[in-house]
Amino acid sequence: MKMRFKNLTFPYKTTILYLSLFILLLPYFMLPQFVLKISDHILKIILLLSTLFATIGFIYSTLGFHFQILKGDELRLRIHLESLNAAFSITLISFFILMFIFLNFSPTMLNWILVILAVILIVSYLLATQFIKEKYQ
Amino acid sequence: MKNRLKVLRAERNLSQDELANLLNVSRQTINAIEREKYDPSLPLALKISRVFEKKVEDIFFLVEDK
Repeated sequence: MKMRFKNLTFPYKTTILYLSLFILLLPYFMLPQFVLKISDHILKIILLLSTLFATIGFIYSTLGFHFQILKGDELRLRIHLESLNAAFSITLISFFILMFIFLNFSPTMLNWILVILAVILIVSYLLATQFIKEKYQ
Repeated sequence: MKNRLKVLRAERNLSQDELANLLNVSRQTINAIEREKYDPSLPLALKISRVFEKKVEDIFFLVEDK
């Protein structure tokens, strides 16, 4: 199973990643113009379909990049792993800080903690990649 | 860890790109190894030794701290 996945090339992953982001955000830009004219039922279906296609796209491109890194150059894998390590530690520290702040001062913000942590994880990974790349240049 | 990769590559008139292609890695990896910023994995070190027809310890060696 693992070997079969490894042999897949996952073509067009970058295009699909951007397309997924576009599909995810499209209803929020388009719907305000039509929201009064369409029924709740159709609105829900539109949002369901856009998020479904975006989710499938994100999963596809994530798997694609994951196996591309595993199969690829060992220095890039090393940079990827070190960046993940740094990003995970930063996210964990942020999680403890946010839990303390939200639990004590703003319990309603707890609903947003996953979204905030996801953003922190992605941003810290991208920043860590840049710093670690410089280390090996 | 120190290495003689740059010298060996120059002796054989190989560019970093050509060596990277022979070893199936990126040019950045070769550059990082030559600048001693990155220690290659054992499989890559063995591949390098095979390309240059030398023992691994003739290419890569530890320098004792004094």
